[in-house]
Amino acid sequence: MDNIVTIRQLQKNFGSTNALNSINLTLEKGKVYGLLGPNASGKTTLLKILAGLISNYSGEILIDGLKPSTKTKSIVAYLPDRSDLHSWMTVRETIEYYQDFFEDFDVQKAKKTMEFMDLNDNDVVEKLSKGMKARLKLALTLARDAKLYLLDEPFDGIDIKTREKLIETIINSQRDESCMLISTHHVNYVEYLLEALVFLSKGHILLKKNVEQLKEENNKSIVEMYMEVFANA
Amino acid sequence: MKFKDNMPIYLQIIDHVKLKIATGEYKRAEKLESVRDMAQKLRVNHNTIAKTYQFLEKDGIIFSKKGVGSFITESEEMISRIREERIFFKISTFVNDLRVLGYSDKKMIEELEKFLKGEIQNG
Repeated sequence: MDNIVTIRQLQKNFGSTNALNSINLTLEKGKVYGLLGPNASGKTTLLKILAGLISNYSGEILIDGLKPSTKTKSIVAYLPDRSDLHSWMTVRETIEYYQDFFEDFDVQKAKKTMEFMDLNDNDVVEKLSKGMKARLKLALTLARDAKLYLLDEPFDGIDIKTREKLIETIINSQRDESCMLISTHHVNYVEYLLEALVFLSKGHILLKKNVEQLKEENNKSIVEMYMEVFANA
Repeated sequence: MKFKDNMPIYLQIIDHVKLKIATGEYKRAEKLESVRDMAQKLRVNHNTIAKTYQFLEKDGIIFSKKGVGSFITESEEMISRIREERIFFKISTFVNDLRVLGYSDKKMIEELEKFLKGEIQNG
């Protein structure tokens, strides 16, 4: 039972539009996965389903043996691609809010990460820059002691220094008991962070493979592989 | 450390550790960073570092003590072998490159001597 996530024959349509099709995927404990694909490939839909935010799909999903529901929300930490922060709160109030909301929230870890991210207790959310908001969101998500972390485009629209801080924080948060799934189209930023890649295109999984194995077999960088895989997709 | 992006990272880290042993930066029987610390330092996935350490251990370049950590080999012979391997690799690359340029062995030695005396300069 080293699988945290098992997905069988997942299908999701929005009206007549097919968002996900015949998705079969297992994710193991202790690993960091990259969910790669161009815009509109279904990455966000897949993450939302795993986060328990979309329930009308067909197929079977098990997260630590349970169907996505309010129950799994307590073991799944989800970082949405849009901000879900309350703009009028301070950093301290936001931490307290999360602490009330999630039983597995580790305040000490949150505070430590905030410090590393150069966020101050009294900073007001709406006055934070885009990069600082991205730092706050990630720090809050990773301060939970979850079994599954879902990060949707954590590197979008941020400066280099923030990116480095986010990457370091993600590496420090890697644990044997939990699994991370990170969606991104910034392949080059994350390749050392990831152990395995899932390439998604138009709602289909094109490829799932260990990063090192992929390089060993092809002598190519992940960016080159990405271009190749999606050239014909 | 800067990685080449078309080569498995574990192979590059193995090479990096061997280079540090060859140059003496890592001393005999010295304690190596933990998997976690090394991952953080190189900003690489923990499992990649764990795999790297397994390979190094299998080759006898490092050894681990349960609950204590990983250490550079205690074998002087192994350390000399790592040094010699690297020197051999550097010399053979040098010789092959000059042979491709059409240098005879005699000419190669002459050029090397000139270089060492500071008689050849770039450009």
